[in-house]
Amino acid sequence: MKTLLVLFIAICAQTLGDVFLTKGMKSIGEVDTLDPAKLFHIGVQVFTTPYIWLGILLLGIFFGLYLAALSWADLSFVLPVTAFGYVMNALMAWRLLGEHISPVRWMGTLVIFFGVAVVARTEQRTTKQETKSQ
Amino acid sequence: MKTFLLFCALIGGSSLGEILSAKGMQQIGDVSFRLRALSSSIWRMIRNPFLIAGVACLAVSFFSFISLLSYADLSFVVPLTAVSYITNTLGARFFLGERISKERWLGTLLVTFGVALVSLADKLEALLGLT
Repeated sequence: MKTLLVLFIAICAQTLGDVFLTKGMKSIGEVDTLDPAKLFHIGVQVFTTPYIWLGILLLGIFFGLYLAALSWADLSFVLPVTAFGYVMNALMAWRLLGEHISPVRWMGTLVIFFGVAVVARTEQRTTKQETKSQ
Repeated sequence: MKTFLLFCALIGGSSLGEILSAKGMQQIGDVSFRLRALSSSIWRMIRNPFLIAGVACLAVSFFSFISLLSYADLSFVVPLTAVSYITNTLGARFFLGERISKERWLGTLLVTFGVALVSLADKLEALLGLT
């Protein structure tokens, strides 16, 4: 239960982080140059956009929680379960952003949901704990 | 050729990175969210060679991904990344010694199929004339 709760919070942070990053990058506009001076200018813009900082912070929280879950659960458990992010993304895009979700995308999302549900019911740790004594 | 190499770096970096990170976190032991225990875990994490190598591999994978995206078609690149669910599970089986039950394989394959379906949605619908 702890693993699923931690991963759920991680996935929420990831989904929100992606939304803020997208918002931030869209506000800067398309990066369509390789000119170093212009790229530097865009770099400065990137790091002075609050939405981007918020996005990076949330993705950092995601990664920290993800690693924490890996410390006590199998990789082959944690990884498929985080695919629940696709379900969250579709729901967010549909409810919050009002995007049209095509039938095939709903179908794929449903398949992912079932896959996650199947994996989530399996045993979380199948290896012995090998903590190094400090 | 360039695309193939970048794709190998993307999948290889992701699998190797995930496996090394998981190995590192196994060595750290259960992370607790109590402040004192957490700070000691974090201190050990930033010095764990497996974890450092893992994060480096994930970085390589990420940069291969954005390089691919800079010129290749999104609907070509993203479905391919679904393969990493299978390669990572195989890696967990052979390098981390995790026991993958039939049920877990079934769920993992469903997730792989679903991710491929979501990322191919636009192409499939155009093909089937649904849009």
